[in-house]
Amino acid sequence: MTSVPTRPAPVSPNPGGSDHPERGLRGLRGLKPLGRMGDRVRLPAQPFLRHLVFFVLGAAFFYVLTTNVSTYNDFQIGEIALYAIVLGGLSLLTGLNGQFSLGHGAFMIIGAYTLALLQLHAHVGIVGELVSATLIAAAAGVIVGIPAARLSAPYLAGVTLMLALALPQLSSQYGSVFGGEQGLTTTPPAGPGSINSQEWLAWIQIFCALLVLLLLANLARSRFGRAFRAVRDDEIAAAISGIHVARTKVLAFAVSAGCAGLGGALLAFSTGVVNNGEFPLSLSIALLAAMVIGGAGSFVGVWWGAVALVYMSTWSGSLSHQFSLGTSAAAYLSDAIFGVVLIVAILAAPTGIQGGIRWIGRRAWRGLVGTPLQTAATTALVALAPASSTETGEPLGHRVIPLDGPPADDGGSRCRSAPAGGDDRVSGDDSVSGDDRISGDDRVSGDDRASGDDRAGGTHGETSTVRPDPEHEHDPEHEHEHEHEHEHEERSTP
Amino acid sequence: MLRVDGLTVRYGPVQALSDVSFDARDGVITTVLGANGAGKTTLLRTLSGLVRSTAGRVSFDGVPITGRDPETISRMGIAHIPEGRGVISELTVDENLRLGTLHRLRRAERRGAMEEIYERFPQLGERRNRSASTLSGGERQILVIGRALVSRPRLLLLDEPSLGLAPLVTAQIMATIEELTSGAGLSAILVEQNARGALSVAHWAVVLNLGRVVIADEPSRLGADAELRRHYLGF
Repeated sequence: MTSVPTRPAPVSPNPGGSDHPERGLRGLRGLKPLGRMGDRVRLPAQPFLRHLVFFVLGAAFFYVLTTNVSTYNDFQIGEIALYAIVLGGLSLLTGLNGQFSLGHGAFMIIGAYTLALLQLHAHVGIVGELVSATLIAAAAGVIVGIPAARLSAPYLAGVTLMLALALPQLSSQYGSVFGGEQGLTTTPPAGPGSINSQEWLAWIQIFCALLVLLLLANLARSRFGRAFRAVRDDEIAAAISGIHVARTKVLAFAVSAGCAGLGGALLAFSTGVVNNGEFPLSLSIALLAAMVIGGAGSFVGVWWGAVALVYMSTWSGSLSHQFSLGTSAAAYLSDAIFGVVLIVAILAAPTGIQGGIRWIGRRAWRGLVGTPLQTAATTALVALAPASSTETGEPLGHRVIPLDGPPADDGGSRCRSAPAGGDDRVSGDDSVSGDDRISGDDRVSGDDRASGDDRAGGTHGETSTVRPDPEHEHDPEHEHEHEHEHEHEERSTP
Repeated sequence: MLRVDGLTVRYGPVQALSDVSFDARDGVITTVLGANGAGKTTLLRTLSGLVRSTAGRVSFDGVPITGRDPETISRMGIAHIPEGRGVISELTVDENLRLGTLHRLRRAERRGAMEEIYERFPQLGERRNRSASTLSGGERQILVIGRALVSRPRLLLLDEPSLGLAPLVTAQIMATIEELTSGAGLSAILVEQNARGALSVAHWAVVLNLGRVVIADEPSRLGADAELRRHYLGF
């Protein structure tokens, strides 16, 4: 068999890149992860570079945000950031690796107490404190993860639930060490110079969140990420491929627990005190719910989950005030609202808010295909594409863009800044993969190679009209198309 | 190459394999035949470590592998291709193949090994960035075989690779297996219901019935024995 004429490294632009045709909303049992934490690279940019772009954009966004809001809002943004860390870890565990934890609050407790005890007894500086909190929580994650690797989901939920219930009792039991009911106090880090200490703390929390999510996104793209997903999907298939299933699960648990520990430590800075009241069982459950609301397996979705987590209690507080409910009712209102939101989220968008946004974005874009509006937008994108070739991937929440449209008027869109163009192009990709999804599904049910190919060909035709941008020579889709052709030639020769 | 000696497997009270002994020689295809429930799948699952044996020994190149983890056995170069596919459907074709390269190959060799597979199975190359869930049954089977081969194994354990596939695809798979074993130091144990097809490619055949070895002989002689054919092979 002759080799397929090699185009310039057909795969390497897209290492492990996926085009996961079966995305979009799934059925209820789906509660399945989006399945691709940033595992979709359409442009030759290295994933690391792409994630770095997020990091920088996120940092810039938060810098602008924090310097323009009140101190109390800074506090809230900091909390959102630290919950994003915890949710990122949980998302890796559940979304990527398919393990459930109802006890992530316990790992937050470990991180928080580690920080408080270090501040009390040793002076290792903030970096040392945070790193220790992360590592000790990760070690606890290993201890929990080893038995967890042998348990299936319901039993694992039970074990982790027990952890969340039992661990807080330790601090009452050993009051002399852990400060009993009052707990321990912590000192938030002092900012350099005249920087508002609340703002400084928020920056630290945001920096940690962006850094951790950067690392998690890279981990998800690495061979470990593939192993996580393989184990989630089919343990037997993973094992006979040579993946050490138990070790992989423990690793996921450790990473996830480490994230929770770091989040807990950062929370201890925010609250200034560490005691059991800070980490009720409901926190562990709310974390899981927030992760699902954001979109299991999505590192962008964790921000939605974190926002929900932080603002839900604020909103429910004002709501109960509005309806003059008693204090006891007010206390439970946020849990009740959270439950309702969770149910709605699962019904309306089983892949979470992030999945829903992607879906809406794709639908909106597809609705535009063929209209003058869309043609104009495409033209604009082509014009902008070279300028924005590094702007790839899925920026925080920018998937929404197709909603308000690929720009309504040609002139306007040409005036758009380069990054916006980049985003739009990404959403253009979305529409393509959306179409792919259809043909892919058809092919599965029809099981008809020939017509499947035809259909794929049709899709490609559409693709090139949709997106005749200069990037497309790197587009894996097109690569296939070409190989495909070669193949037909080859097949006809014998 | 692979020596199975007195292998016995019980599922609770059910004796799935009793005292099974045979050798799979180097560079040849050994086929294991038998009716439903004869213990063929259990045999392969035991060899790859997915099922623990109750008694008996298995050694691979003289190294005992009885009771080892599936991942360890896989890393030693025994690639199990389970019945009913076993692709990881959440991953793309490319990612599925990469899983196979992880443990047996050096970093520099991985890409080349994958390209070899794409050349051998062009239909995988076309689909490399698609989710494995979109593949047809035949493509899935080919992907799993590709994932096994990409690790450059020494021994393939194939569990009914023709199950539910079109005759044409089956023929392609059989031809591939034959070609592979005739070339570079690869052996295969092929479990099949389709006895006629299996006997035509195999060099040695073992017939199981109710967990016991009925006969082990050369395929041509098994095929010639009308009694045996009627009773155990169904043709």
